[in-house]
Amino acid sequence: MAKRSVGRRLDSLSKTGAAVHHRRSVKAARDGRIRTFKLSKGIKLEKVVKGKR
Amino acid sequence: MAPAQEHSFDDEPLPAAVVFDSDFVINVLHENEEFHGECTEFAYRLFDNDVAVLYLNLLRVDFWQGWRRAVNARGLPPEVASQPMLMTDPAAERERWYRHGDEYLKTLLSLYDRYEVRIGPRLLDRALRLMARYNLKSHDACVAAAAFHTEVTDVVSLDKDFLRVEGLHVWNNGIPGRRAARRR
Repeated sequence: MAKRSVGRRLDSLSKTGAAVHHRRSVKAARDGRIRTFKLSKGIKLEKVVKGKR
Repeated sequence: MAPAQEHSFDDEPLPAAVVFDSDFVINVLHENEEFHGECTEFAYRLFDNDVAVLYLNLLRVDFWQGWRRAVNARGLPPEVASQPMLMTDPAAERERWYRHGDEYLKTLLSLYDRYEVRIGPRLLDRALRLMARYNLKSHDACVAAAAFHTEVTDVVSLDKDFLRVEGLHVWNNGIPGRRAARRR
């Protein structure tokens, strides 16, 4: 779907309360880095959340 | 039944908006996950190309589940675990750690123009139908229902079950196939 029609559809969902729109954080966008983490003890979060693979 | 269309992370063109599933988000954030590198690269590609992101309000709940397990197993990231205990109240201390985990997710999502989709009765009704039709897990059915409800049918998920859903475009970089090949 084209960007404009997606935007229109999503804006209409925001108006009905079916979705909440959050604009990109200017500060985060300027930094542009994804903050990641490493857990000790080898815990796999994906397994916990989505079940055994 | 026509299956979903599968996409690599370097396919062109990128859609205007995508739906995030929790397994993709976890693989981006957690450096120990198997597909961290390629998922992070794709997350940056979406950011660089101003792709809007949709997610269910359940995403945070999913993430908390994994984070809570890590907290309970004292498997926190070293920089968090080494923080001094500020309080003698264990519940308050746990809350501090849980909030710390939540911040990782919030920081990732804040990079995107994003829509948090609420699970209402109509979406649930649609999810139930999808769950029955495609034999999906309930959570996956909600993600698929959100995709159809919003007409954003590009889903970023590493879960093979979405490949059964007609009409979806699943961005997974062939990860479900690689997982299946490894099991054989």
